[in-house]
Amino acid sequence: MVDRVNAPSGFTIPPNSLRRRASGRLAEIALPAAGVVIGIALIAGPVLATAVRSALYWDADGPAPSWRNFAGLFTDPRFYQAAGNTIICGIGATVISCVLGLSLAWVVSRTDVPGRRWFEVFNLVPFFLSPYVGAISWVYLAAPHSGILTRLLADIFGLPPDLIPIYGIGGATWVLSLFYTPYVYLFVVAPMRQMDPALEDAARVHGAGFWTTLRLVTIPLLFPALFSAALVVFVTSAGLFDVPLALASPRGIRTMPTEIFQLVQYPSDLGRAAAFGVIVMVVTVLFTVLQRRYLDRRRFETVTGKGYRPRIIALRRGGRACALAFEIVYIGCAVVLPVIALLMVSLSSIWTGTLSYATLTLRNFEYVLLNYSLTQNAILNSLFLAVTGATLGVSISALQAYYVNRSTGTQRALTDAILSLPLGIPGIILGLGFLILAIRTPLYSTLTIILIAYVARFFPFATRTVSSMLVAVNPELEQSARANGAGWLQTMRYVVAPLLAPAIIAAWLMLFVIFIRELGATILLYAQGTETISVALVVLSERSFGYVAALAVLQLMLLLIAFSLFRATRASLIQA
Amino acid sequence: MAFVRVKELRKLFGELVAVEDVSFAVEAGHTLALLGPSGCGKTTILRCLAGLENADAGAIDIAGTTVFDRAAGVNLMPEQRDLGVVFQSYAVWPHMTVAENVGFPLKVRRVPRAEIIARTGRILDLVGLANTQDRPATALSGGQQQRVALARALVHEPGLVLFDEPMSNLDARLRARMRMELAVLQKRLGFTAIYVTHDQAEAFSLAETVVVMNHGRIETAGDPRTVFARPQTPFVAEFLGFNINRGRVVNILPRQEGFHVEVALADGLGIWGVQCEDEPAVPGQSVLACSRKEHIAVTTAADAAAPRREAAGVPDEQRFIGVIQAASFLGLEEEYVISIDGIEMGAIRPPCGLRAGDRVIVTIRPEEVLVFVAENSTIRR
Repeated sequence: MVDRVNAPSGFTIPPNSLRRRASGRLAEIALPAAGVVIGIALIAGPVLATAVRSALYWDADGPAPSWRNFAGLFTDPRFYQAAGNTIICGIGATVISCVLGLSLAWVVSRTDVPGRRWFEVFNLVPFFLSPYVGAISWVYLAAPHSGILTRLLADIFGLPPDLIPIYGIGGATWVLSLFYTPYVYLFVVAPMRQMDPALEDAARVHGAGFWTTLRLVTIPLLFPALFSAALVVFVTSAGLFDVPLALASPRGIRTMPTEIFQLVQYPSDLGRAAAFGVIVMVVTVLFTVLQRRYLDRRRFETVTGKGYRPRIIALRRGGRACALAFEIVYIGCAVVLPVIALLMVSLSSIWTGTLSYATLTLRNFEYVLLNYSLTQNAILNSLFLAVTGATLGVSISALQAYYVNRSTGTQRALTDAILSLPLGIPGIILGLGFLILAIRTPLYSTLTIILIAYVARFFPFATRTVSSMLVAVNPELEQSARANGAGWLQTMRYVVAPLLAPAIIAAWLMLFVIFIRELGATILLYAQGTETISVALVVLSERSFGYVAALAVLQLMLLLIAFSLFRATRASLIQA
Repeated sequence: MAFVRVKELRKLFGELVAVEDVSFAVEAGHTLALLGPSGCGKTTILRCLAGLENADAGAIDIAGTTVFDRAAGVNLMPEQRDLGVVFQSYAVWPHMTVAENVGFPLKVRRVPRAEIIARTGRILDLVGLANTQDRPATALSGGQQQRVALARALVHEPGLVLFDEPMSNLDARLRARMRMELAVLQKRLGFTAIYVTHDQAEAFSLAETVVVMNHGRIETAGDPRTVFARPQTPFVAEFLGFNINRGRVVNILPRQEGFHVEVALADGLGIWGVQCEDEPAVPGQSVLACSRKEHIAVTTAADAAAPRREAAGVPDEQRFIGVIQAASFLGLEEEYVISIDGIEMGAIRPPCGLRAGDRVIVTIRPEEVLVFVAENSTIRR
């Protein structure tokens, strides 16, 4: 029998194959575990540092454990103002973006509004833009007296020149809502498409009208997705530093992220900042646990695996006009108007609120690109951080995704939960944690610490993306490779990696986008020479509108290139 | 007075004609079955009746009310038509309990709570789901979910209940049982039913009228026994599982009513049958010879006399020599595929242990071969 199999084939087993097998076995266990360990270390480091620092108080004798940081915080009225404003902003942004996102998803997926293929793409663009740049664009648009829209409204309708309250809680909530609407849209559009249309038909034929059906059937069925989206939007919008910095700080309005930033500035009180950070982290973790428990209890099988064609509702002419106008107003406010404002400002030598031929110039771009070392450096730093960070982040994410979905480890669900923690922790708080860790080490004020903070804050986005694709890959594809004699590393190389390539590329591009625009974590960690584009925008904003706008346009171009490449991968954003 | 009347219904999906010139009527308390293969337009008709699809032409009356009339611009919303519908996917709402699902039609009609509870309980008893009220609807098995859907369609006592392939997701035993229960329920509650199915047994057993659909048009309509016993078109014959063999007319003889026709299926293989059209066929014309598999007798070549050439005239029985190509055992019956001079025919007989390769004698009575002129038919062969 043996002869009959071996003799005609004439194959011999390569002599080093046994050794390769042994190293393969080690790799199979060690590599995914390494990804998980690095991930946990990246989270645990700053979180523990913040927690420890919050419990230490420096007096004349040096540091000692104490509750004085927390006590100081709780007796400070500024803390309550900041927390209150942040909660108002977060709730406002959540409610508005839920209404906008749900409506946009419905219009695009369930009606015959003209151009809905295009809107499907455009509704996602704000997801890829920088909220800080969005906020400053809205200043150009709506600032009292000098804003483009303000002046238009004043000139045409004679409205007062300080009509739009862009500075303050209202303005911040507005810009946050515009930027977080795509999150809600993404969460609800897929279940809306995949829902069995018969569920709604059944309500109609048994006596419920359109609105009753919406209220009793459609929205309750979408509720798990909507609720998840609302929690994510609340936690991330409340923790976002960019928008309050641009719109609330100039009027002296305190918010959580700007207050933490202030506490780190000279004369700094890292202990109190850390105490604030601990409180935010506790709230964030509570929200995450709440969301997980809720989703475990209520997960409707509206998606039955059958390919349902969504029922497209033929709108009447008035309805079509309304739906179209709604889409145009949203895209206009979130993308088109800000971009126009940026371009107008970046092309003017002096910004007076209108574009005039006399002041038209390319000097801002020339200066930012060729003559100013701060911005030149910032662009190079951002590109380096984005490329290196995305590569590192995707590498450990792929290993983690493999561990969570394929390994035989007993604590996979717990691992998954721990690894998703940074999703909710605001960038500025993770930045604070790394600042505390690095402050007396050679890492302090290097690009490396910024890089580490970036990867730590954002690798879960990549893990989610890769993981959701790995779930869809039948394990038998790998098992058959192993059964046919491939080692683990070979299986990874020839089977798993090619199958996951679209998700890996999508995850890389997503991290690239996030890192190019990141501000919250960077603002506490940068030093002279390690500024990024976003930091340079903040630094320049005190000097020249024109330079800021020119640099913002360059950043926007990088983001839009990444967005078009992302579209080309055809990956779904939903897992992120 | 018909309870439901559909007049000249037409529905287009873009270029595709989904339903064309469909008219029928259903008496109060009766069941009409729309029978046909998938894509024949039967579900589209049902959806037009429910108001979930707007027809491009025609009119629909339900219980004396015009619910749709394209010409007159009448089009009631689905919720205004007062129907019950059982969907193919059941469409049981996963976010509601059984009682909430079933009580929904009453709730949206603003029936008082106490009455909703009482009526929901009664109808659940009736469909055999007592004591499941408070369970989440999706915790039930497929068969139970189907009963929830049924209870929901009946609870508000609609005059007309529409069924869209309600049994297609059930296993064969459950399907037979539900069929009987449905007939009993209908007798008891007295609703009118329109029932879409591709399963002929379901259609024949439940309906007073069967409408066979093909490519959006009505192929034939009538009571189940007539439709079954004497298919009106080759399509219906094929759908009912007849052998369909194409051939050319070689001989025509008048009989008491109509004509006997001899069809050459291949060189030297002539088969006599009854022409279904009133006009006599002409020699050389292309025709389809249709025979029911159960009507084809098969005996082993050894224990029967060799076929003999008949003299002129129509024989009482005609015999052919064939070879079994395949046999499949079905329990009470056995199905054979037999090749007669290269022409394939199926036969269904009580099991007699024939095997592939056996030579057999095939006997067919001319009265059991239906001959249709091919150019009139819509089947492609």
